Amino acid sequence: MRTLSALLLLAVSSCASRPSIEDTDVSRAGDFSAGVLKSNLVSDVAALVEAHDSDTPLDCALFDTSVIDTNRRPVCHVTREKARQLVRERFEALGYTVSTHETEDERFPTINVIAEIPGVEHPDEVVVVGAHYDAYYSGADDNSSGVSAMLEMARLAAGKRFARTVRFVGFDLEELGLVGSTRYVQNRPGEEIVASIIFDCIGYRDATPGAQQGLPGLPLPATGDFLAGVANEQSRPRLEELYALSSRLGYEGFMKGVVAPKDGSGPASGNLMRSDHAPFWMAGQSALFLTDTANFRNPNYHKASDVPSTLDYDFLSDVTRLSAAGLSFWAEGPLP
Amino acid sequence: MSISALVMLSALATSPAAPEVSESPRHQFSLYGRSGASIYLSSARTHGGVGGGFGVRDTVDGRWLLQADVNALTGLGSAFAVRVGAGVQRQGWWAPAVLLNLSGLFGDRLDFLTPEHPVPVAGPSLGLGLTVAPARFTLGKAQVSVLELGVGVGTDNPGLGLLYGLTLLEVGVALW
Repeated sequence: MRTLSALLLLAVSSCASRPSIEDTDVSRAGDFSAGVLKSNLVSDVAALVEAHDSDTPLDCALFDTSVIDTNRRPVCHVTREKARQLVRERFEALGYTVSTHETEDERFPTINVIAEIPGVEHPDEVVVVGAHYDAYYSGADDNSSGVSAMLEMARLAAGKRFARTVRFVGFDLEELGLVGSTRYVQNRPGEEIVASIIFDCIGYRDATPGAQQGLPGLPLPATGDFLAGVANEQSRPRLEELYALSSRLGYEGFMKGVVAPKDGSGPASGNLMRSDHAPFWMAGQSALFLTDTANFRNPNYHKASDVPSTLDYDFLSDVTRLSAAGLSFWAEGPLP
Repeated sequence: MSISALVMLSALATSPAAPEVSESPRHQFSLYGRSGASIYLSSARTHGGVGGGFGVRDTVDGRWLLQADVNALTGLGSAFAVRVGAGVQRQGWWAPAVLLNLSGLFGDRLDFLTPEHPVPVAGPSLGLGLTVAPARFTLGKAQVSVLELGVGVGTDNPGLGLLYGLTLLEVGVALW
């Protein structure tokens, strides 16, 4: 009985070790992330929304709308061409050599836009920052918010040196089933991805009690004023590190972390697989999914009302700063 | 636990009984199978799933119950639950029971990072709770129970967890 008691006490009181983050790393990450400018995020979201609004949607004849729930997936309102062009031009204006990953397909050809800073010490080790640039309707939150965060981080990193390779990727056709990101991951088997941050819907906040809808088995607050960081078991160390960074940088309680078991594809965790991080998980690569929880908070999700005026740019700025801190920490830079 | 396993246990239980002895044994050991669900919910983790398992029970003096079972669960990855219980049953063909259970959930789960738990809680999810089995019957050497409900509490140190259990069907057979 005494042995049983000791084992139970050990099981109850045991505690996983916290990630070790040096003060110098926190300081460097804080300095790097402090460069995020809210005004840039505001203007980038506006420019991306303008690109979507002025674009021609995909041909509705590509879809069998008799079997698609067009309220949930308004497939006749997908735009991407002008947003892709905008992302490419922004990368080029920042001095990046931009490449594309193009996949021919009769119905849905895709073009992922890639900007990269080769690592100066470990060039084969990659930190990915990604966001899908296609959208339904104006797509302010989904996903101009994520693309603007990626562009702002690219601006901060431009011209700087990092120990590891930093890669920014604008993914195509996420809304039609993670098409661009799946093809991207399949095209780079075996790559050593140290960390990935995937943004999808990161600009909507509503602190009204009851604004946040829950998910079975997920103890979410009633107020929609937190960032959700989602990892699978392989990505768990990166989430713990980002969580630790958020605490050290004064964002205590800002992020709620969720770790799905195994590769994250279990039957009860399907809602945690709904963006471009999922192909990374299924390929055994590390990826964190950062989101405002989309339709579980934002009533404008996949609607024509997803416009810039509904976003909270202070929230978006905080998400971008925290993510920039993560980029600095994982890529080990900027270096002197 | 599969339906076929439950049917097999039922068949065993309804097989011709051994010649009756004049006095009931002090200890009546039985093997049982069960199907149902167990879930542990706290601010730091969600653990459990649906499934089934097997256990052994010692019925002392026809009234007191001591039992332990192991269950495989799925839904949030692969998990298993170990339950140790002690309780009391009504004597007779209708044998409702109440048990105090100590349960441990092991394996895959959803973890949540919170200010209290900036890294996932290590170790199994443990809960101490009460299980009521109102529809429990003794049929010769067999015991059948449907719709057992259990609730318990556990700790994530700090933090409180709630453990819920549901047994859809349990079939047991006396070993001797």
